[in-house]
Amino acid sequence: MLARVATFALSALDPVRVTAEVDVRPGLPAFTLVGLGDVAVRESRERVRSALLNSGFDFPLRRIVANLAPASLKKAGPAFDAALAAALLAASEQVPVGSLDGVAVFAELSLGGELRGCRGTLAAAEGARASGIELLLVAEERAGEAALVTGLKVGAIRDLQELAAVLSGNAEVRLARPAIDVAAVDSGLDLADVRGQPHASRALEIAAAGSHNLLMEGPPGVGKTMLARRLPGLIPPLAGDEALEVTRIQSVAGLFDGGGLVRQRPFRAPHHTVSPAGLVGGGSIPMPGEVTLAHRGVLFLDELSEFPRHSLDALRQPLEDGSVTVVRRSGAATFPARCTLVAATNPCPCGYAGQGSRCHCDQQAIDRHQRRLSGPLVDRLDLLVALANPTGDQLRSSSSTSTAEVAGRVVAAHAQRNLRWPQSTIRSNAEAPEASLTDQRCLSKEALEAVDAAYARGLVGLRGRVRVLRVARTIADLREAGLTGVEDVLEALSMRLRVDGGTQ
Amino acid sequence: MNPCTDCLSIAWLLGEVGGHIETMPPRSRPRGLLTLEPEAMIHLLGGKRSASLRKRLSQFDPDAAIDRIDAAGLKAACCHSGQFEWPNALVIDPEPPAVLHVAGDAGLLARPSVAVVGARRADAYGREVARQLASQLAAAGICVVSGLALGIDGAAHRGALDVERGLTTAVLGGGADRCYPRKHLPIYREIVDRGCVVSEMPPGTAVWRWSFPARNRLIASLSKVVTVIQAAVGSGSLHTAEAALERSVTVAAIPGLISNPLSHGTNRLLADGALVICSPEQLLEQLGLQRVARSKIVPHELRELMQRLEAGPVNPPDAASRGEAAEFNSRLAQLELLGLARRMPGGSWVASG
Repeated sequence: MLARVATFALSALDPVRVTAEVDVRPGLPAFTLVGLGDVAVRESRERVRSALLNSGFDFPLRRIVANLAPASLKKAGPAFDAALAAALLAASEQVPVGSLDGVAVFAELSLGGELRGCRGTLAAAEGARASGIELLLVAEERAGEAALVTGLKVGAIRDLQELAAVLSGNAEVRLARPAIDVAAVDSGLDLADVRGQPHASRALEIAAAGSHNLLMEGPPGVGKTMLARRLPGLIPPLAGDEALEVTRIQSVAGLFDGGGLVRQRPFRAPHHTVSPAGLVGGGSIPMPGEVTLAHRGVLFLDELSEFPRHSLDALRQPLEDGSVTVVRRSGAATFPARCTLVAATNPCPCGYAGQGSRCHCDQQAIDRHQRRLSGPLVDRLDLLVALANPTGDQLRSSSSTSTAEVAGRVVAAHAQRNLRWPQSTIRSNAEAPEASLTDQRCLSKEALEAVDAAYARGLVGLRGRVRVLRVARTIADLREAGLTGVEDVLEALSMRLRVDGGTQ
Repeated sequence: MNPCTDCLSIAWLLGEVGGHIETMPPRSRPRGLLTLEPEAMIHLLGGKRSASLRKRLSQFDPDAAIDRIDAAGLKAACCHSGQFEWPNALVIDPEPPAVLHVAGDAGLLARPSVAVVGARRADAYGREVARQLASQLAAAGICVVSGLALGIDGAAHRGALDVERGLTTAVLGGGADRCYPRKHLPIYREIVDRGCVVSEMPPGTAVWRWSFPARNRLIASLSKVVTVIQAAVGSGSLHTAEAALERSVTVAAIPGLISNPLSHGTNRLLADGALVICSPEQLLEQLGLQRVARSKIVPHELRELMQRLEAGPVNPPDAASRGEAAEFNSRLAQLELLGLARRMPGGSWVASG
């Protein structure tokens, strides 16, 4: 007898509806599973068999063929276990066949018959809603995650016995409620912890307000990493679609614990030995890379000059487009990749250039170091900030700005931008095209003259000119001014990267 | 007026025998090799090519040589006649060049000049000192002479060019129409435009190892003071200093850390009696000039910051307290727009010009 039930596979971040079909026929006892599965899928047979027997069901000693359709799609992971078990129960007439209509099942099985949560449950739930499924049955621990998707009934199932009881109508399905948002937990990283670096905190504020990519340059141990870690806290927490997007990415990547929507901006800091595929995504079944995991958050590259050139080259297109497309034999997968890049570097090989006579690097060494930075990626960086070790006096005397104070100004700046470009596709100043920046209604004549003077003097190139205008716009937003003034341009100029690409 | 035929033929011959000189062991090269009579030079260096060189010398066509010089966009002169005035300093030189080839403004050769030279592998400190010193000299109207090499030389030219109407002369070992090293092409072009590039070799001549000491003697000869910024022991800049001594040109040097090999040569010069340079002002004083204070010509609201920059590099994190960061940065940018300040690697700012 034949039975089928819906389940979901993941292609990149997107759910693909898969039908689990099980056919039980007279013949020599056998259990065959087809449908282009990986090892975890093939091993599913053993888990299903043990789970059925340990839960007190019959495992039919007949010829069993299971298929996961569409058979052309590569499938990975253990998430098909429960669907196969449900279809097998129906095919062997241990539950009514009709009970599987309009139902989808998405969970892994333990040998004892308990359902286990799987990564990507949120994406599966979105798929279920999109393909008109009425009831999605998932493991208890992930029911709250699946219920984040509105307009879909989600049943929490503890084990196979409960699953069979629900399908046979002997028990009420326990409908899940959306998991409660973990309100952006206080990460405990406050900008006030950073003392004696007013310039750096100002640069972070600008980066947060306009999503500008930032390069920090300074000697070892000056606090570059400490500062970068505080950037996500300055950006307003994730809301609405953004939160759902990030939650889905983290769920698919297995970084999500099944709680409520992720509100905290992600912060990713890959080590410089990361492979290009690790950075932008890849694998025979494409998985998101660091740039996607940092989507809507911050990607931090410490020791930028140590990253191999081809890794940085791979980053360039995703940063430009806000998405990355990985092409494999099995097809192309597109991942979102809209993040703020923060890079840190030493100014020279020894790290102490500009710190009095402590640096003894010769010109060739510094040139070489600067050349390594001056690759295509530097084109994507809007802000340069230098850090120096504060003196003892500064540590004692300076009061620091708190995250709350800066975050308040950033929210106001975002509001200012939305006011200026309502219904626009421009989601941050860093993406703004030149025309909308040089509009007379938002750029004063003197400011334009200052930018053009800098261009005439050769201080900025054409690309740099637009970048200065964008940063100046953000600075004006931060003081809630409609018109970009000359002082905004001057401050932006002082933080620009240098024409030749290096930091000099 | 064109240089005389005899001098042109010597210059031509020098271009021809460059490779021969290169293969000659430095110790067996006689002093004043470049000032030998053509016959003596062919005898000494010609080897198998002597006969053909003699023949070509006898058929030497001065008009063709002038055409080549014109085609390269150069002007030429010798001690007898030429397209510009022969510099006075070379009249009494023990080893004068036969012909000078100039790209740019030959009038600079008659200006009071100071050489700023030093190591190619200079560190950031050395390059900064060279740039500052050259800027100060240029601002006071002195022409800065150097050799266009990497490191100190390039920084010195750059410093002079930083100043509006700053004058600088680059003395090259190869032809004056060839930029060597290639990396300094932007500086070379700017000097041809605003300053003067000079060489004793005919246009198109390649650079040999022996060209550098030969070039260094011209640097010394054209200058009133030779300032060595950084030089390791055995550095070419010490040749320049030696050549300066032979010509009774003042040698000055910048003191450096005794732990830094780049200071060993300069500190040795100081021990041997070179003029100690403790500040650009001191050198200007030596030349009987006044320093031009940049802070006098900047807008009122920037004056205080400019004075601080002139006193030494300013690190934004050092300088600003909370809340002032934004304003401080705008002022620095304003100074940069005026060409009065520059950002160094590592983020500190210095006065330029």
